[in-house]
Amino acid sequence: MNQQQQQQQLGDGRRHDDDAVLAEFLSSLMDYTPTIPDELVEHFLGKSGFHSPDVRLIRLVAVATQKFVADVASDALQHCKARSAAVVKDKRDKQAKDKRLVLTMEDLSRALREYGVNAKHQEYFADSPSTGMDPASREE
Amino acid sequence: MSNGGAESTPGRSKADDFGYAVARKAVAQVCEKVGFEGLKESALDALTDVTLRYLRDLGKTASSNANICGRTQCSIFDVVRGFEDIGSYQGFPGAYNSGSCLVSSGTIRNIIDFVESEEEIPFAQPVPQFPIVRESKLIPSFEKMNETPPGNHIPAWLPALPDQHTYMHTPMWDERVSDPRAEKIEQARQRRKAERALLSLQQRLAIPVPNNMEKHVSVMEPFAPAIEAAKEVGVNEDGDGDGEGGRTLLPEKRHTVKFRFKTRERMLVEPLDVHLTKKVEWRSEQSLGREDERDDKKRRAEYIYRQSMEYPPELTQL
Repeated sequence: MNQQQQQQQLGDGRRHDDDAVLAEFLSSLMDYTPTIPDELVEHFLGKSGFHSPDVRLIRLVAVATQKFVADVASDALQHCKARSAAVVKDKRDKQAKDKRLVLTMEDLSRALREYGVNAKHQEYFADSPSTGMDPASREE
Repeated sequence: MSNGGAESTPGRSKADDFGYAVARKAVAQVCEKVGFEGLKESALDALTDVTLRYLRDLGKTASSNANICGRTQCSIFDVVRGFEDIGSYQGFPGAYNSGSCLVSSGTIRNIIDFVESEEEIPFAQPVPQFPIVRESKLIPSFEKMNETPPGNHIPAWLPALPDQHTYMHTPMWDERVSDPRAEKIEQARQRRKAERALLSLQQRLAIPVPNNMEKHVSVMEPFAPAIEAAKEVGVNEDGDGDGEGGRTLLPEKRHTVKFRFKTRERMLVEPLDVHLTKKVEWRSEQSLGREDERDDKKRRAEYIYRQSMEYPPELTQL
């Protein structure tokens, strides 16, 4: 019985901490300006039926969306860098050209795959028998 | 939803287009922050679409969570459940423990870490509240128009019927009352005004004609009586700003103006020495600082005068 009570007390303590953390975070959100403007978020949330007078919730959603975009973009960046690194190994003269990191559809579709979004494009020509196969099983 | 021009895709309202454009910019800013130096347009469009879809799905989930609990307003818990739902594909710490309190959710932790690690980049431009609601103009009622509705069956608070002239051909009466005498007087007055203007113009340009120009008739001679009459009336000139009872003060030094009475032929080639003397004298004028403006006006007046002398002067056209 004592153990259970103790555990419960601990649990309550932790919950209070979490509460405090959350409350503090929400208030700190008012200082942080997310890249996605509040008006945009409000409009699209309103279209879905989300109604809240609290600005902090809007900010929270905006920050979460920004985080999502940043995650996808950074994954795509990793793919882009990996691609240019692999190319550099083979041909040294391409180093100068591939310095610019550009977000392409290919990198983006690879990154989005991990988030459950299928954005694959149909390939134009079937040059080789391996066209259209899973890229993991293909030889680069 | 109504869509305006050819730019908007069918089924998408103008507010959506604006929102899409704003979202595109925001997404591009985030990508720049992450480290990309350039973006392909198709990729940017795809990423913007995904972002907006994410936003909409979050809203849908949160609002349905609130509705399930019998609420219309969404609370923090609805939003956090929405985060967990949408993040369940990617995964977040603590996802296994679905029964725990939402306050300690792993998704919140992720967001807190993100906010603390990243420096904020505000959106590049201020965004107005959209969509802008336009107040519709209501048709005023019978009472407001101070009209009695035609027929007892129409109450007075209903919007008024349109005016008769909008759907029927009603006779038009010319309101103008013509007074021939007044019109003639007005016409004569205008002619006199034009004459006076021309006379004052000539006065400004007039100088005693030099002897070597015998062939040319002094321009002032035929107009001498008219000028006398005008002087008596008290011609008021304002051009040079000298206003001493309306008489112009002619400057002492003026460049020679050669008048040529030509009957219908234009002399295209001027004698060279005439042109040069004009230039020399004009340049000497330049040294006198305060007379620059006057020279300009004089040249303009001279040009006008020359034009009017090319053809028989029609005073009404001045």
